[in-house]
Amino acid sequence: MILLRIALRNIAATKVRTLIIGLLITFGTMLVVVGGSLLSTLDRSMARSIIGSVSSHLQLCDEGAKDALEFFSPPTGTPDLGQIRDFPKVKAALEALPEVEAVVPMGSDFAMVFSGNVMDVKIAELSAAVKRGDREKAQVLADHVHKNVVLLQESLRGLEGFVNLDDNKEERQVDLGNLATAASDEFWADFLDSPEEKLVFLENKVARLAMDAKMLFLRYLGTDTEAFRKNFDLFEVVKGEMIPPGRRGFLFSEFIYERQVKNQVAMRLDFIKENLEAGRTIKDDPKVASRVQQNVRQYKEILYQMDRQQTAQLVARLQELLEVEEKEPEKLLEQFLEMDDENFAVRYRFFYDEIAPAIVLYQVRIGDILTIRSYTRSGYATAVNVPVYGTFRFKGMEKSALAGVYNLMDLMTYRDLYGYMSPARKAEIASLKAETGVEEIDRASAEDALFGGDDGEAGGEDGGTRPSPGEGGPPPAADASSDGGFDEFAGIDMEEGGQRYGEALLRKVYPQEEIDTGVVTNAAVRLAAGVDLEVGRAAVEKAVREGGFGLSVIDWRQASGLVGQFLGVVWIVLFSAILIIFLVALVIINNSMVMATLDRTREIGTMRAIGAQRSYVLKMFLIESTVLGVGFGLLGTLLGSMLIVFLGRVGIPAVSDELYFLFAGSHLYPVLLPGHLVSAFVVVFLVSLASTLYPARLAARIQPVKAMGKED
Amino acid sequence: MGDVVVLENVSKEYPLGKLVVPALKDVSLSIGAGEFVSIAGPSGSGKTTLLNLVGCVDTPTSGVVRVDGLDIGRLSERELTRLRLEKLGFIFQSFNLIAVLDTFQNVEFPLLLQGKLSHRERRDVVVELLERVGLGKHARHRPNELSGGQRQRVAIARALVTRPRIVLADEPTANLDTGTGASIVDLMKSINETQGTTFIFSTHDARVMKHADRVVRLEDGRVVSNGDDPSAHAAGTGAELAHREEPAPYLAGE
Repeated sequence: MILLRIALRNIAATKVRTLIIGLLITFGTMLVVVGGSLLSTLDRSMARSIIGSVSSHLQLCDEGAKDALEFFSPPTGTPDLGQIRDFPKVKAALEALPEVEAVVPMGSDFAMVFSGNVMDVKIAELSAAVKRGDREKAQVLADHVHKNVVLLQESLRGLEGFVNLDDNKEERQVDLGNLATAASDEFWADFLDSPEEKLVFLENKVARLAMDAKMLFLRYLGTDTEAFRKNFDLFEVVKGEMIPPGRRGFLFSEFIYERQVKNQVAMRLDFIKENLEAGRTIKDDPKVASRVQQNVRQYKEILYQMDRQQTAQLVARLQELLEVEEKEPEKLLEQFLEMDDENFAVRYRFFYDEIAPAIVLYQVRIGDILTIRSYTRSGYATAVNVPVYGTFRFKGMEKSALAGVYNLMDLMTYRDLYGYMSPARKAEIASLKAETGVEEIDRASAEDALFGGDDGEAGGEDGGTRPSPGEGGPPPAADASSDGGFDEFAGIDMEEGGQRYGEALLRKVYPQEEIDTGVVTNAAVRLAAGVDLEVGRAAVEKAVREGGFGLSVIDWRQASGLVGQFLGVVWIVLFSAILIIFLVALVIINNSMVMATLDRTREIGTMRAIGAQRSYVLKMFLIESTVLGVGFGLLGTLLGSMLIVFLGRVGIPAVSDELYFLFAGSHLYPVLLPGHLVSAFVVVFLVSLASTLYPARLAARIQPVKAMGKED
Repeated sequence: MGDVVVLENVSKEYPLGKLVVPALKDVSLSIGAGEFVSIAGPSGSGKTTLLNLVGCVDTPTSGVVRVDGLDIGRLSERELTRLRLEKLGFIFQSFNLIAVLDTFQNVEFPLLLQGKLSHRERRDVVVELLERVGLGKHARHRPNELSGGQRQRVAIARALVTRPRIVLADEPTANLDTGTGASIVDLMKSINETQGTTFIFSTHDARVMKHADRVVRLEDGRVVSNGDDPSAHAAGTGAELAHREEPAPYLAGE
């Protein structure tokens, strides 16, 4: 084929031009193949992350909702999602569709949970022991509190100089005086003889000076826990057990539990261990080293929690381990926590073997009753108790902060926190009242029952936790509210029936109708296996429309919020890059072809004179650019495919939390998709064709007379 | 034999800005089959225009040009191209070989455009022709590896490969030295004699003209002498040679 020969020869004859065009086309096709494959793989892994964790394929929410449902956007207050009216009907209608596997009701919100500081807890325990008349226990606790007060005084001593600068100078002076009083041996000498007054003094004047209280920020998802477990395949329980079907209960996200609920010193040790295992060192990695330093500064976290006996034991063991004579526990602990790469493994073990059993390793333990306070939609504060059954995670995304952002609770608890009274809820309360023999009582005594009860301050005062020692099941607890005229429990006699009522509430197994009936702000729709997202979406939308449910249907991408939009942005960036590259290629090819046309005017004129038709010249140019496009397009496709195959073998490591989530695991293994090869090819072909149309037309118009006469 | 080229009252004008420059004025001329005709005349006399019209790469402003009996003014662009391919051969002043093709492929090119012969037939024709023009050993050389004379021989072979009725040559020896030019004209003449191909060529060179059966002289776009004995014009040679220093006319209208 002479045209191909001419084309090839021309391409070979103009090396610089060929090289520039070749580079552009090669790079462009590579970008299409690599970028396309990467993003598609990312899209899949992200779909896996989001569909398999909280969103499922589709989400339903109120058509008239003020805010959009966005699971993974930073929380900016509670979004107003409206609610799904008559959820059971929606569920029935959608689950009847062949495209739909299941509909899972949901609601998400967040709450702050405060845990008391050690001082508060210990004083409360002391107070309880005194009330019980348990002198032995009281003495141990008194010693512990005394020790902590002394520690507190010492830690504040360094700050005395700053007191004069304080605006509330006088108050600070008084505080320090109170602290000195409480730290003195005289204060404690006859403590057990007249404890009441001193306890009040400790509670009111001293405890608040200790500032190690923790605040937990919890985002939670209220859902039909059984349906959730069945329909989100990445879900798995790590610690403890699954909330029994139909029960009220709370599951911590393993991530939150390990990173926020856990004792901070222990958490940092875990972090260091993880990093050392990943090949980093304390010596060379500043991030790891800073954790060591933070631990050294926070030895008090440990010391505050130990009584005198435990402290003495620790001193002895530490002296042994560190082979020193030092007697001061603070100094010993500081030395112990000053770890380096050599001794870390030994000291890590020591921490978990010797220290961890003596301290509260988790602020909230599995089996505890968690008191969550929240502001309801009607604007009043409410507090709800819920047993912690365990922790969960989403498989493959253990390390992702984003995947671990949600804790899980049952829908009934969620609804209590949400503060909406459904008719079914009212009926439930009525029946429970009858069952447990609760009678009407005024609010004052209800509050008294809640906060003045003999199980101390912890639950009511700071919304924290009360340990439930040794029992098999969750201990009795009460739904409670602090203030608010609409409180559903205001009318319940807590004094007599409250405990039993609360207990019954936590033990009650709710039938499915009750789980489904009531506030549901949104719902996840899981499509049947193999159903295309858009097909499923269309079917669901149709059913929603026909049922007149007034719901909008959004896919997982939208529902995921910023994370889902992130990929959209990346797509746009990639498309723009590809567009720009090919536009540049188009202009350059076009230009060089026009130049070639001008250069070859005589040659083309000669061909025309000899008898070549216009179409022949046109073909000649088109073939030339097609050969260029196809040749370098193939090269780019090949290089791109090789890169993707290579990356697919090695995997792209997730270097940050966000990537971990996007990759649905520690590595992304890009997959080469034939679609991208084809599209790369089509794009290159079209671009080279388009860029040659003008010069080819120009060339075809060259008159044969141009061949005549002398060479220029 | 009849006339293969007939011009009847042909005029050709070129627009030059707002002016209209006449290149040929009322030219009538016929050339018979098998003739070896030289078109002579000073620069700007209309030689090239005349050849362009006969070569069907241009059409007359008025009058009729018949090539092999066809009125080229009535043919479409496609038909003209077809006519050139089938009936005409071109030899250019600057050889105009296709740079990226070798000798063999350059000569083969018109046959490929025609698409009538098989690969084998084409090869036989081209090889025979290359022997004929003395380039049998240079079949695989690119134009830039050949001398001027060799290139023009390739061009002659290319012009002849389709066995055209008429070969048009615009100053075929202008870019060659005297000796080479003479050998090229000898070659053309021998082909004319053995195959009866009509040759129409323009030239300034009196020594080239001497080979012609007939010299058509143009001046200012008019035929001043038609069918003279070429030797009669030897006297004018000096003047013709003086013109060689000027740039050769690209278009006669300049």
